[in-house]
Amino acid sequence: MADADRVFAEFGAMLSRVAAMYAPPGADREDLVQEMAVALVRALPRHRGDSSLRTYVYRIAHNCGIRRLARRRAAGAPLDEAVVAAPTPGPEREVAAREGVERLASAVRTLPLGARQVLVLALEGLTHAEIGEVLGLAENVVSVRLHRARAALRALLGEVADETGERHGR
Amino acid sequence: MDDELRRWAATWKQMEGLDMDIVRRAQSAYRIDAVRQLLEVLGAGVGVVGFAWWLGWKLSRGEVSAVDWVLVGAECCALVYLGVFFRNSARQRAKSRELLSDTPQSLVNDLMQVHERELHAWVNKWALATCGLVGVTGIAWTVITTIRANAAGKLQSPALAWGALCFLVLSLVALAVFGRYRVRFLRRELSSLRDIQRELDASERGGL
Repeated sequence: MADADRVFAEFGAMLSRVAAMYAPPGADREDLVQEMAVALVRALPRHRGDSSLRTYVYRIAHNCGIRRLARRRAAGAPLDEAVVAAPTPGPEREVAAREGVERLASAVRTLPLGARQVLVLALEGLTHAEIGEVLGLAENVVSVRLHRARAALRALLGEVADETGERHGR
Repeated sequence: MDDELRRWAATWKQMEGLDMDIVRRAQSAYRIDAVRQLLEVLGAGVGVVGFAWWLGWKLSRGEVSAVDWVLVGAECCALVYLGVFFRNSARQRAKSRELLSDTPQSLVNDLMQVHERELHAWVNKWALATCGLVGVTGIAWTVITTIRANAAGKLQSPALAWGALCFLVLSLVALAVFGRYRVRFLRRELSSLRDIQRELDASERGGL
């Protein structure tokens, strides 16, 4: 597990964020993160270096998310993509920050899967080429998908673009 | 990355890491899975050794009846079935691990193919009819043989013979019930995979 320890130290927080795209907060998300972690441990020996470790890890995390989504839908579980966490007690600023984060995550979860994946990878800081590598898409497809995903997210968050191009909350 | 995306990314990355030891949980899940597999193989092994010991004991006393040979036949069928089951489940596990490093579209397409193949195997009319015929004929023949042996007073241990027969019937019923649920599950999973496939493809056709 030495390699796995290193990968978890580097990508552990990322796994939680990718899981947030597929599952609302709570035990379900924790289970998904664990599933991703186990899948990573098993998949690491097969990484031959033909792609970067970063894109490899993202690809496995997303595929675990897709598998979970398929299972949840097949089991007839309620669509939980848009579930928002109950506000947690704490200092006002902290609560506001948490709500902001979960509001964004909840809006992301309502996007169609293809758009969601591209957007989250962009938020994670991947370039269009890297996103294409993770999802098996051409760069121009990534650009188009990202453009549309951003427009949809903006609408969901109730933000408008003024003439100067700056976005504001309504 | 422009301002808007940077702002969203900053919010996104504020998401706290889950308060859990990922390594510890992964290790624990990994261990549980390994123990489960070991128990499956051990259980099957103990069953086979126990049965072989029982048959050897009977043979050594020259007490093997027709019903016993039916049980030997059933055990051999169960062994073949278990062998195929373990081999398939090991292959499926390996395949599903392999698929995880594929692209999402390929993953969904391959999962659909795997599920369709399994569904086809479960609902194949010829296979179902053959299994049903062989099962019903086998059970009927065993019941008749047991009744005749019992009437002739040749049955050494009627309780054991009837118990084994009940076990066989219950196992077949359990398999049929499992098959029914499995088929339902596979159909639902295929339907959800088709939805996911549509969602993944929609963006390329111009939708979101």
